[in-house]
Amino acid sequence: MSAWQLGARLTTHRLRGERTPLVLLACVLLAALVAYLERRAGGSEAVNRALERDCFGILLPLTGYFTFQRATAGGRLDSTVRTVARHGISGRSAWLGAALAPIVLLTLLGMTFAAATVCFARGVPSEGLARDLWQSTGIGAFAGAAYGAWLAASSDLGRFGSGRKWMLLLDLLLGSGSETLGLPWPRSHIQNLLGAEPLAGFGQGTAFAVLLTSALSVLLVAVRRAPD
Amino acid sequence: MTHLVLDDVVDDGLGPISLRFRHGLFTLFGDSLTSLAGLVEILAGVRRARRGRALLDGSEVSDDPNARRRVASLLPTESLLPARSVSDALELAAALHGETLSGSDVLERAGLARFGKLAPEHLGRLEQRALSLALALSLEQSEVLLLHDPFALHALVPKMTTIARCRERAEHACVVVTTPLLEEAIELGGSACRIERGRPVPHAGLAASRALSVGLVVRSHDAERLAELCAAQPAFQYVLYDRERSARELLVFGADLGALAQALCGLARKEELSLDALAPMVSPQLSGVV
Repeated sequence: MSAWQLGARLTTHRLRGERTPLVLLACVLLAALVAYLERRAGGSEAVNRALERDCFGILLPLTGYFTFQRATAGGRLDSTVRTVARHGISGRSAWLGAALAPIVLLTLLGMTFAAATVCFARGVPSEGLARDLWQSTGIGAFAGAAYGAWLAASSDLGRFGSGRKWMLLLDLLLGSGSETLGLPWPRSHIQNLLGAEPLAGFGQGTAFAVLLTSALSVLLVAVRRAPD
Repeated sequence: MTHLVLDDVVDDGLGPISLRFRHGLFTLFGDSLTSLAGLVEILAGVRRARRGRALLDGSEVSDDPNARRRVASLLPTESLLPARSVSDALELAAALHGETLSGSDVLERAGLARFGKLAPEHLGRLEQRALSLALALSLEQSEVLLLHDPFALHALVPKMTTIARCRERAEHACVVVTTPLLEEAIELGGSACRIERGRPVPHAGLAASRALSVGLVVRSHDAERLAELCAAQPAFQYVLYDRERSARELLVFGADLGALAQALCGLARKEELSLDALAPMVSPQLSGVV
């Protein structure tokens, strides 16, 4: 078994619990409920509010945080990986594998949250639902992967992986504005992709490129930092 | 021959500490289990020290997977590899170390066969440690065996099993065991060193090592160089040199006093190093050590 496979197996094993499906289902239902309430509140912006503020603004980042808390057993990701790397496998490859499992889960969750939000905020059936679903689930996938990459990298900071909390706080505080300080954080670019006010006048293509580049960069830096 | 070196290590509650181990049985004992745990974790490459390095034949253990593969260890906290059963987890861990072992054989030898079919996540901390001890003792090809406080698990793995296996492995590997109790260090035999406030206390180790080895106090202007050379010679079981404590003095241990003196003189002559004085070590009384 290769190092990255073993790393992935380690975090997958931790994420896979008896109550995990129930918790994930509850999160999806929450996304749906909030979207439904937005629809009841009325207005043509119900879908946008549900996606920008509730789904990708609060629910996805928080789910990401708790996913990594569970995957690392409330500790650092690099310390988690050392428990398998001590047997003579590459620590860096194992780190990458260990990070990939929660990232993939968050990608799928981002897609599911987006689909549930769009369906319940618009109502089924409705005109243009298929197009909206296609676009939103795509953005959900990128948003989940981006938050996953940032949370994985920040899980190596602080004594018990407290970097995760700081990352979320900074993302909330700086990523919500449209200042230059918000540039690296995922939140501002995800909002841009969803049609909110663009950061620094970026087009959606640029926002997507920046989101992808920043996520890959932090992941690369974290892999390089991890002891082999 | 395997050389495990702790080079000027400083960490939480540790050091600066420098130790060298060759093949044989070494016990590190002291009242602070946290310091001893830190030492084992650093030696096993599970974490890096704040300063200094742990080297196995010149490679930094924490950064070299090949070096870690040669180390079997029992850490302060253990978690078995993710697998369906304990038996599978042990087989997988052994395979990563390059050994083909049957999980049930490993468990049977340690008297832990009843755990074989259980899922690792359903086990408690003590059980996980006991199973990791069983694995570490079974890895025949590992060149270094590091065990942190293995006798605390005597309820699950009998003390005599651990002692017998450590002595057996010490013939071909470097075995380092930590324990909080001097009595256990003496029972285990081999060379011993007391760790106090995160630093070695050279003379305190004698009480435990006297059963198997004798020591010489060597005074020399080239004490540091001499200590390096002695550490590489099989005639010397254990060498202690502390530059800050006494820059011109080192302590060497071996099985026989005459052979020890002869080997030392031969080495000094060959390398043209000065030897100012040689004196046999007077072992302190146990009460004095404690």
